[in-house]
Formats: sequence, structure tokens, C-alpha cells
Amino acid sequence: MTNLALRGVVKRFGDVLAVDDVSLDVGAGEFFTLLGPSGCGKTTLLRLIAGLEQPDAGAVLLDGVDLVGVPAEKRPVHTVFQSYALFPHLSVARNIAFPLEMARVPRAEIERRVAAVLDDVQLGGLARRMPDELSGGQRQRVAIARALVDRPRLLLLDEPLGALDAKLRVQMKFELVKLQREVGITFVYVTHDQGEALALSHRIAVMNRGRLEQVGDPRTIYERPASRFVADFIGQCNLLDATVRRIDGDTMELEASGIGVCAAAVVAGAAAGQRGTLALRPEAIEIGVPLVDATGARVQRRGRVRDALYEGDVTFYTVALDDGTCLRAMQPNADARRAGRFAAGAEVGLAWPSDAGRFLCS
Amino acid sequence: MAERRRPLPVQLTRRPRWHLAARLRGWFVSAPPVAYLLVFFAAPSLIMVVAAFRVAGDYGGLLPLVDTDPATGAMRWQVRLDNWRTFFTLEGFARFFADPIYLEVFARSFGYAAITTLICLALGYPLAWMIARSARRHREALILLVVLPFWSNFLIRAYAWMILLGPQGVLSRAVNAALGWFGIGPVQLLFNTFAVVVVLVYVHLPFMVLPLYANLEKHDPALVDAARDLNANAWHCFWRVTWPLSLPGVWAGAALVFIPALGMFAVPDLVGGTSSLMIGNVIKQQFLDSRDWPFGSVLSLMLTLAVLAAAAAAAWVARRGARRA
Repeated sequence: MTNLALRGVVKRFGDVLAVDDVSLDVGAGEFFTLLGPSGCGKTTLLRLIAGLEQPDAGAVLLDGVDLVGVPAEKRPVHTVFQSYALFPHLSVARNIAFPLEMARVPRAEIERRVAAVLDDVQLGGLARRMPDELSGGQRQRVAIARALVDRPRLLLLDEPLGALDAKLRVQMKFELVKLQREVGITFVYVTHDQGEALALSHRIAVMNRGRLEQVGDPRTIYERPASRFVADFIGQCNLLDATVRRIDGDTMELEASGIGVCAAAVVAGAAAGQRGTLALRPEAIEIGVPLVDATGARVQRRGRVRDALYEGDVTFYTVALDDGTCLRAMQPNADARRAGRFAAGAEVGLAWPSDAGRFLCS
Repeated sequence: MAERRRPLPVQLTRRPRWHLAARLRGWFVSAPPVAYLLVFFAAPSLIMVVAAFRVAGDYGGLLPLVDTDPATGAMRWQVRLDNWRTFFTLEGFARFFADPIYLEVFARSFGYAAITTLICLALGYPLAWMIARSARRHREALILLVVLPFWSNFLIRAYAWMILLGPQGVLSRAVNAALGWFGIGPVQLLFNTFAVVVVLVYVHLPFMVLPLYANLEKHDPALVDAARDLNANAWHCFWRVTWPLSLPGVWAGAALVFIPALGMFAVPDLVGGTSSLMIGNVIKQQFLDSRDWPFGSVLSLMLTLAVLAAAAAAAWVARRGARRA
């Protein structure tokens, strides 16, 4: 069931087209993420949904009702702001009571619901604290509690983890997922962090320059990116110029710069002779393989290690092939025992399944 | 005890010297402001307090405590245990409380200052808010316009108001023409309480706008967004978020307007009538016209005490308000 629907939404700031003809549907109870680099229009889109901005064209439908022209305070939609925007002159309890007071909920009812939501976010003992007496993580919980207390039909979150340190961020990711499942409210989450987007979301919309590049579940976005931009933005990716040689049932033969002939699954819109990009994830490339005769199922190449980045769980290698093309390969360090570690300058064999790459028309 | 057992002789020998150096450095830093306060605040205040208890001299001023021999220039201390009552008295305070005219002038001055402060707040707050919300590149120019009147002399500006409010002035004529339509006789705009308050507001408005602007300019716009997002209409955004957060600026502006307005004598002198005298006028009269310095000092001291009491009351109210929120 569709909860939120955007239809051809356009927003301009002067000459800048911040949101360019965006249409999408978010289902009820969905954890939906708008992902993109800074300045891609994702926060503007969130503010359009919240009613803090009005679109120049298009419709914002909540449960089938057009919200365009409805002011922010009349929308059953709340936002968790990036800076949390807690009212510094009000205690935790008064901050959380704010939307209820504005809606003229009776005092006894307010107290009951504030206490309940404080328990939900495990802040029971802090009701009387002031915002500047809280840690970053506690402030964030207050912001979430304040936005959830009058049970909005949609919760918008604008990079809520951005201000937290790495450890707390991981913990909050788990808590957000759990909270969303428990309250059952649709979350629209804005982030530029692809890791957060992949980990939290049911579906992701990747945005670039005000437009949607691709909408899909995390696996689709990661494994079958629809465009060069998506492949490049989500995770690390080797992007090689490629030309379609021929299409053969559900596979096609490509000629890719640096690695030569290889195979890839057919994608919609591809035709023989078409030029595009071959996207190859670093984790698909195995490093340190003995170079035996290539079989049809595997592509093998020889190269020389340029750089190795040890990251604890994995090591990233930049490997230069004979013609100078650089490929990035990722090796889990648990596998290094089998295949060995490689220093810069080492000659290595690379191999990947011949259908590991994905052809992108753009 | 634990400190002593630690085998750190180097630190033990160095420590006291370090302390002394730190203390000396502290004095070097704080000495200039302390000296400034002593010379320009504490000493004059003390002189005023002492003068309030002294007796006026035969030709005005203060009765000298030392006798100077005109021939030799030798000075002799006059005050002794048996005659100190000749030099010090509480008469000034008795006079202040005996004649209701002084308390009346006090009350009137407080009233004028309070009205001036409220009108300045009502006019200055929207102005400061609009400047704080205007485009960043325009703000400095707008603030410059607010302080621009300071570039010309206060008296010139007061006289300008006398022309505006005078019976032949543009304002006066326009008002009387408008009132004429309703059959109300011509009104006098100058030399009355109205003129005093108008000019007091005009003179003090920048002192209200500047601290308010400094406060409002720092507000995080996300807070008002959050309030709107959380069901607050425009009025509640202001009253529940912007206004309470701007209270420090409001108090600062109110103090900067109320206190100088309270002691003002030039404005009532120029544009006021006989019934709009303020405490500043009376103090000025005592010092310059009557040459009764002790009583002038009594009035000044009472004014200072009244301002302190008002400030304490305001601080108490503000603290109580903060605790309640």
C-alpha cells in the first residue's frame, strides 16, 4: 500500500534546479532511503515532503491526499533534523511534549505519552535534563522521541547519524532498524553514506543533480546498478569503457578497455556495437591466483601491485595491468592466509568470473 | 599526605615558584581592568555616597572638611569627635522622604523610562528580527543605518524633533488636520509628556535594536523549522521558540534603554513641559542651579539604589522564568 507518493515534483532555487521532476512511491511501513552526494537535492526533497518548502510543480500525496499548499504544521509528518534542532530552553520532557502541546492534547494525556515514548527510546531518567546536558546519542534519541510522540504517518530523518562518532553510529543503525520495525511508521531517511543506506533500508533511491538515478532494494542497487553514477557512488567499483560485440541469448560479449573480451549479463537497452561502461566490483576480483589456461567461466589477467591498503578486515589492492589499466581488487584478510599478502611491485594473477561485470549503457 | 610521599623532588622545588609566577601573571592581566573600574566607577561612586551625607557649604558645594590657611597654604583637618555633626548629616535623606514631590518625580521618571523601554521593544524587536532574517550581505548596511543617527550631535537631533513637533511643524499640522476632520480642536505636540516620550524613544531605539539583533542573528533557523514541523503555527513558533530564546537580548536591550532613559535630563529640558520633569532634571538643578551638592548626591544615590533594585527584581523574574521552562 502506498503511503507517500511524489508525482513530477520540481523545486527551483533561483537558477538552480534542486529537485528535477521526481516521482516515486513509498509503501506503508517501509524504510526508504534517499541517497546521494551533498547538493543532490535529497534534503530539499525531504523539506518538500515536510512542507518546509513548497514545490514549483508536481504533487506530494500522503495516503492519496495532495499535501501541496498544506503548511508544515498541518501535515502529519515529522522530521528528525541533522542538527536535531532540540529547543535549548526546554527540558527533554518539554521538548518531547511540544508537538502534543501544539495539538492541544490534554495535559494528563501529554504526560502519559511523553513518559511512554521516553521509555521507548530508553531515556526514562533524563526527562528533566536540558538538551545541553545530554550526549550526542541521547540528543538524537530525544529528537526521534519528539518526532514520534504524536505518531505521525511519516517520519523524515535528515542524516540523523551524521554527528555521531563511528562506534555510536553502528549501534544507532541497529536501534533505528529495530525502532522502525516496532513503531511501524514509514521512515524516509536521507543520507550521503552508502553504508547506512544499504544497511538500513528496504529500498533506496539514488539521487544525482536533483534527479532519481535508480530506485530499488539494497541488493539491486549494489549488484545491478543502473548507471555509471550509481555504480561509482555505491561502494567501490572498477569502471571500464566497454563496447558490446554481440548479444547471445542472455549473455553478451564485450570488448572492455584494458581487459579485452569478457562476458556480462544482458541489460535492457543494450545493442550490438553500443559503447558503455563495464562495472566490476573489487570484491569480485580474486588476487594471487596461479595463471593457468583461462576457462570460459573465468577471466584471468596478470598485473603488478601498485598500492595495498590494509583496512583490518580487508585489504584493497590497486593492480596495474600490462597496458596500464588499473583495477582495484579487494581481498578479505581471512583469505590472505591461502593466497598470501602482496607488497607494492609484486607480480600477481587476477581472476574473476566472466559474468561478474555489469554493462552499463550510460 | 599522598602528595608528599611521591618521589618527585624536582616538582616540589619548582612548584612554589611556578605558583608565584602564575599569580603575578594573573595580576598583570587583571590589573588594568581593575584600575579602570577603580578610577572610573568605584571612586566616583564612593565620592557621591560620601557627599550625600555631608553638609552644603556656605556658598554651595560642600562644606570643606579641611581648613586652608590663605597666607601659608597649610591645611588643617577640621573634623573631630565632638564636632562631626557639623560636617555630616542625614538631613538630605530626611528631606527626600519628607516632601512627596521627590517620590513623585521618581515615580514619573520610572514611568517614562518604562514606557520608553516598552515602546522601544515593540518597535525594535520587529526591526531587529527583520535585519537578522535579511540576506547576509545586506545586514551590515542595515545595522549601519540603525546607528547612523549617532553620527550627528544629540542636541541637533533633539532640536530637529522640536521643529517636527512644533506647532508649525509638518507632523503637528498633519495630526491637527486629521483631528480637525473629527471636530477635535488643535492639539499641542511639543512641551509635554508626549514629546518627552517620543524623543526618549527616538534617542534610545538603537540601544534596543543592537542587542536584540546580536541575539536574533545567532538563532539556528532549524529551530523554527522544527517548531513548524512539530505542529506549531507562526504565532507559536514565535512565542514558544523565538521569543524565549531572545530573552537575553530583550533584557540587555531593556537595561540599555531603561537606565539611561531614567536619568535623562536634556530631553525633558528641551521638549518637556513643566509637569514632565524627570529625576535627572532635579539632580541637575541641585548641582548647577541650587548648588546643593549634598542633596544632589542624595537624589543620585537614591536613583542608583532604585536602579539596582529594579535590576535585581528583573534578574529574579528572569531566573524564575528560566526555572519554570
